[in-house]
Amino acid sequence: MTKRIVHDHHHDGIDRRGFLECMAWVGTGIAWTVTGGVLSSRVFGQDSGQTKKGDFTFVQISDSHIGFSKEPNKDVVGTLRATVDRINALPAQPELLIHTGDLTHLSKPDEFDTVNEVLKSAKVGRVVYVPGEHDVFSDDGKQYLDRYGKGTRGLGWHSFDHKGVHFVGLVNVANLKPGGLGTLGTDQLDWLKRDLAGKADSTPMVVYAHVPLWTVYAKWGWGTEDSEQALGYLKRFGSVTVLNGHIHQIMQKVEGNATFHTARSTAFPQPEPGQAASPGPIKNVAADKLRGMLGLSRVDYKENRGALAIVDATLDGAAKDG
Amino acid sequence: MRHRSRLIAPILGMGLCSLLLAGCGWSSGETTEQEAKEEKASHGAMDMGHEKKSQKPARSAEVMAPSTEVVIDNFTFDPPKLTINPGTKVTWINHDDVPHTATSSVKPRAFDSGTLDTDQKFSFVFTTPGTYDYFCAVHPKMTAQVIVK
Repeated sequence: MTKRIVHDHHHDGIDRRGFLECMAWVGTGIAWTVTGGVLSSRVFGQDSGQTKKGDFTFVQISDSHIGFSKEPNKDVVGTLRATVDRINALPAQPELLIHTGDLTHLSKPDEFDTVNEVLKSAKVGRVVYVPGEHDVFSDDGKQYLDRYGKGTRGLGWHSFDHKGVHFVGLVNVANLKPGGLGTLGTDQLDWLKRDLAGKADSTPMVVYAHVPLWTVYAKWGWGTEDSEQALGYLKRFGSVTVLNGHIHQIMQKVEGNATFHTARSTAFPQPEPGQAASPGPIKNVAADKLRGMLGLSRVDYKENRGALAIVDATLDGAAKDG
Repeated sequence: MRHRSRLIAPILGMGLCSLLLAGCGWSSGETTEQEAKEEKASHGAMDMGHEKKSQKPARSAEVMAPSTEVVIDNFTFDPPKLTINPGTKVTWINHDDVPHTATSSVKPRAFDSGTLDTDQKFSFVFTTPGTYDYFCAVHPKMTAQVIVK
C-alpha cells in the first residue's frame, strides 16, 4: 500500500477502511496458525469443538483385576463400574474401548463373567482386549481365548482398521521365561511385519499391549525384551501411539513419531519404580484418596492432525495427568 | 497394678502358642480344606497340599519327613537358594498380596505349584539329587533354586 491514508473522513490521519483491510489479513493468519498447531489437553468432559466426520474418540482402560479383594481396594467391581459411568458421561460417545489387560486377577471363569457383565453397560461402539499375565497364567490362556480369541492369533494378537487408523493389539505375556521381561516372540513379530507391509507411512498407528513396550523398570519386569524389533517396523509411520498397562500408573514418553503412554488401573495403584520393595499394590491408601489414583484415558483422533491427544482422568472426577 | 498382671499371663500364653505354631510350620499336606488340583506332569514323589487360611490349623499326628519352607513375599522367594537332602519335603507358602507360582524352569516341569493366592501353599518332595531352578510364572523376574544333594 503506497498511499496508506486513502480515506480520511475524520481528518485525524487514520484510515479506518484501510486499517480494516489490513486487519482482515492478520485475522486469517491467526486462524491458520491455530489449525495447524499442536493439540492441547482439554479438561476431561469438555467437548472438543469442531468435529469432522473422520474424527473420533476412543477410551483405554486397564488392569481391572476382577477377583482381587485386598487393601487398598475390596471392591474392584465397584471401581470398574465407576469407570464405565465416567465413559458413559463423555460428551462424545467413544467408538472404541480398549482394555489393555489383567481383566481378571486369577483368570477364573466367574471373574471373566463379571468383566463382561460390567462392560456390557459401557456405551461404546466396540470393545477390544489384549490379555495381561493374570488372564493367562493359570490355564495357558484357555479361558481368555474361549472368550476373546475369535479372529485373533496366538494368545490373542490382532489388528483392524477404524476410520483410516490402524489398530494393532499385541500380546507380550505368553511364554514368559524365568528371569525375563514381557515377550512378543518370533511368530508374532513375523505376523506384525506382514500386517504392516503395504500400509502407507501416513497411516496413523495405534498399538496396544499389556506390558510396556519400552523398558520402564527392568528390575520389576516392566518392559518387553524383544520390542525393539516391533518398534523398528513402526518407525516409518508418521504417527504412532503406543498404549500399555501393567504398571498401574501413568508414564509417558515421546520418541520420534511415537508417543508411549501407560494407563492407571481401575483396581489399585502400584508404586513408582524403585519406590518400594516390590511392585505389589500400594496398601496404605486412605479410602477417600483411592479413586484419585485409579482412572481411564480418553484418546481423541482428529483427521490429518498427527499425534493423537491423550487425556487421562481419575475416577474422582479430576482431569489429572500422570 | 493388679489389672495389668492379670492381662500379662494370657498374653504370654498366646505368645507362646503362636511361637509353637510358627516353629512347627504347617508342612503336612493332610490337614483340613484340601483343594483338588488338576493333574500336572511331574517327576518324583509329589505331595500336593493347598490350604486356605484357617483360624485353627490342625497338625498331623504322624511322624513327619524332614521338611522345610519357602516363604513367598514381596515378590521374592525366601530363601532364594535352598539346599536340602533327597527325600525332603519343601513347602511354598504365599504371604504376598498377589498370586504367585513356584514353577520349575525346565520343560517338562519338574514341579509346578499352579496358582497360589495369598496364604495358599504347595508341597513337593524332592527325591532325585540335582539343581532345580524355578520361577514364578506370573512374575518371571522372580527366580530361585532348590539344590538337592
